[in-house]
Amino acid sequence: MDKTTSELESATNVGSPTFAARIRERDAEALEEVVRRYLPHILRAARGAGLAQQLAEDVAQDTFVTFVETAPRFEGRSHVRTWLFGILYKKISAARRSRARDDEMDDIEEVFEQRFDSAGSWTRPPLPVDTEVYDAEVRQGIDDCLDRVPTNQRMAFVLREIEGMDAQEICKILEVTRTNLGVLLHRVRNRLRECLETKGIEPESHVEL
Amino acid sequence: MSSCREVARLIASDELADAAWFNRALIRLHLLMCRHCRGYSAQLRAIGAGARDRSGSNVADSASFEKLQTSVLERCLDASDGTIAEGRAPDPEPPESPIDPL
Repeated sequence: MDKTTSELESATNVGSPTFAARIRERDAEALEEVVRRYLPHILRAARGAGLAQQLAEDVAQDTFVTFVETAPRFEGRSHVRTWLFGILYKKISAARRSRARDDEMDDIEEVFEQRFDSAGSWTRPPLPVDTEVYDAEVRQGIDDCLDRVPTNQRMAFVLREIEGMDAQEICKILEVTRTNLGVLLHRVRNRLRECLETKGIEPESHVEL
Repeated sequence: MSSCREVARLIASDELADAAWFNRALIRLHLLMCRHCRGYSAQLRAIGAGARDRSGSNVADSASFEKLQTSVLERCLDASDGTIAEGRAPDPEPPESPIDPL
């Protein structure tokens, strides 16, 4: 009886080898389970990556179609979710290709360095902020600031902050090393911070109360 | 002793958790003493929280979501049926226990 229960759990647990086998066989119920469970996350990540609603829906749909098409190759070595987000990332990169500037050279590194002296102490420290005022500024400015971020940095940020994934899984999805991921997160966060700080001191962006 | 630049870089790259415990302790000590790094860290946390707020949890509640989900399910089933039909006939019943759970 125990064995039957564990088999049943194993077959419905999306991370299990049994479930991976059902995905490979394109078992209709297993595919449906994956769609119902992950479509909201995939759609949210596509929106978070900067795609407009209609494009995000199209990309989410294409992601699942590719998922089903490639399902026979799914070996279950990584989680279904990781596999799905990997497909999504490639679709988003293609959709944003025209505007992507995923350059190796990134001026944000220089901006960051310029904030410190040779000993590594702040020369231009972050402006002291009242938390509530800063939160309001973030809510108001973040979409605009995110818009200027290259796709790979933006995806790293979305998977970490919005989907709450751990570094190991994000590295698999973006196909980067842990060190590369650190660089991506460092750049996107500093870029956003600098962008918000610039907005905060511009007179026209004062919050009207 | 860690410099502000090193502390800021560790925080922004999410590498603090990977650091050895004594390095983490040094950085905590640095943060206790340095209001600029504390402010920087608080700003990054606020930026993450702001992004989570903006993304909202309402994706699945939106009017178009149900339609999208139906459409995705149909296309997925079409995609799977199509390919299986080209090959051998699908098994009408799934095997009882295809894989030994152990």
